[in-house]
Amino acid sequence: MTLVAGGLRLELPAGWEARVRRQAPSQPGRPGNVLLHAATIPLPEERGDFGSGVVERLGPDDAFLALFEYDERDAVKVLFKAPRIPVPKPSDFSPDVLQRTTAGNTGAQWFFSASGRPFSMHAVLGSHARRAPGATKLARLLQGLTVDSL
Amino acid sequence: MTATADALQALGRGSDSGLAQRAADAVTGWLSRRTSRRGFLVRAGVVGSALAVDTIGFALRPQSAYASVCGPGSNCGSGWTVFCATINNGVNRCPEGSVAAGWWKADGASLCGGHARYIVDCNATCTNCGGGGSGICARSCWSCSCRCGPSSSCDQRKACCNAFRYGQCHQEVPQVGGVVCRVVSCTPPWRWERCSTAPATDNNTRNHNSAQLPRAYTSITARHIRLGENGSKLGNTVYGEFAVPGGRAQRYENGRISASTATGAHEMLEPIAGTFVRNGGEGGTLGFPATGTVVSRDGRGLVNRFQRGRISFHPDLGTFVLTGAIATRYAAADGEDGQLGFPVSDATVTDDGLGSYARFQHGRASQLGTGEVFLTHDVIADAYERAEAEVGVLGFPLAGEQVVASGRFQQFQYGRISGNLVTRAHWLSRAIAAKYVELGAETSSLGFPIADEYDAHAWPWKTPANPEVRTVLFEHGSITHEVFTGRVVVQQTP
Repeated sequence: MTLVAGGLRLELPAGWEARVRRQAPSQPGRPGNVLLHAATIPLPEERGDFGSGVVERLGPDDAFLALFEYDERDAVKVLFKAPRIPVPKPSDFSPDVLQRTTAGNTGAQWFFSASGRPFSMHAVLGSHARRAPGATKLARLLQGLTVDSL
Repeated sequence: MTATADALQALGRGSDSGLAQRAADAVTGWLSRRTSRRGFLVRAGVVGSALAVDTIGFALRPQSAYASVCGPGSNCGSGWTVFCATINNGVNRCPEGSVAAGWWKADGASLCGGHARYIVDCNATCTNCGGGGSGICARSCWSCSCRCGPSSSCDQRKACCNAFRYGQCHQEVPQVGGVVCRVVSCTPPWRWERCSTAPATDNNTRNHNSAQLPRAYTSITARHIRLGENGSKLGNTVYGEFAVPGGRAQRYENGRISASTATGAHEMLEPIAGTFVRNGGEGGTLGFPATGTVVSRDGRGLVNRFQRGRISFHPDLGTFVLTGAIATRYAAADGEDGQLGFPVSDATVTDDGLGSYARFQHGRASQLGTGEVFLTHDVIADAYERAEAEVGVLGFPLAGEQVVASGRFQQFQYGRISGNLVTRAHWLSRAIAAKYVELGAETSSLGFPIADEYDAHAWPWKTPANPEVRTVLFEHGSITHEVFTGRVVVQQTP
């Protein structure tokens, strides 16, 4: 299944659910930023942009990913100097890289630009002990992600 | 497996605050019917706060009001981050060694009057770290270490534990450490911090709070928001609101807001706020502020009016308090922007206790007893002070300054001051003043006085051989008063 929205194209592997939305802009006249959520569990309607409401429900082999776009003009800032979508590795994950630390969960976060658009990507796995297969699962998901320029 | 692309509508500003308030009112009523009046009142402060933060939670779940003040997930094990006010002496700002690194909002927050509440993460700074591209430096480089919030607070959430960056703020900083604490605001962070506008939302944090933060949306909150809140001249909140006689007040880094039903909510910037507190605050002579702090016309001074007075500040002069009729008269004379300029003294009771006065850059206000306040200006005020003002030989003024001939004069209890542009102003008292008026005063052939009254025999010991002889020199003559004999002599010069 292919998901196309907000200048993102995601070939969704089996076992994943994903949603994309264009955020309501903070200021009138600006384009809304794009937010992608993907998880190996059903996504609840009420969820924080970086996964609160979802990550608490992850089982040991589950994964959640949030791709959060920033303002277009932020792309030139040093925070977004990495030039491409990252490939998650097991060593990227730590139990404290979480918006809210939750027992068992482990997370990773990256800032980068793709096609001139600034993003952060936050991934959460249900088990730090099982981060290796989790990272592989996420890497496979991201192989199917392309970002178009605005 | 499902895949859905949904461009969601913007969430409008929440309209459930009225509902929450009604629910709070209803539960308050329910509680009040089931507890003694005294017991209810004693608990009302904390309970009211709890209801304002988490109406449904407090009413339906068994928990202490104190816990509800801090909202859900307030213990250390919850995994959330502590509020900065909790660990920063009540100040709602990023503490030393941390920097605002990102923000999110919770929509429909009762603490922001039903509007969005913004939460800004303050992340630790990194020291001696190089490289890396994740936006977060290695834990060994953080300027803090992981701990729980203080056990003395209900906000025992974690400090400096979570290695997460929301990313909208200080994007010029390549790496930061963990999240030290959270700052809150009802004003979008890009208006008061170096943040961009990409909105992140997490409504699960809507009711997170601290006992060291304001606990409800009030007229004081609304006023702070109108002034720019965290980015205002008042700065950030320092602890929460508190009751004062007749109303409520809130401290800020650089001032205070006080509110009463009669006056509404008005701010006082420092150093006016400090002077206000030293003078008894809301329960003191001044009462509640009737205006916010206004900048004077010269752009340097600050002024607040109160129910019963005024405080003025000028960086070159200091901060002074005017009260009662003197403050009212000064206001009627255009205050700091008027002819008198800024005060250089408080309104003060005279040494003899007969009245009060205040000194200004360009004059003086005097009040005998509870009578009318009269002003003296410029050179007349200078002459009045040379005569030791209210407690001197002239006593209190009986009228304001008046124009006569080519100059001005002012009448006092026991004398007169006259002057023009050439002679300047000079004082004369009692018998000499009476004779001068009898002769026609400034319009007489004597003209204006050219010096203050003086004792021609100014040797300190008065003896029959050295009697007191008072003299005033005029443009065209003199008047002499031999005090022991009572004789008054007028001399005309051609």
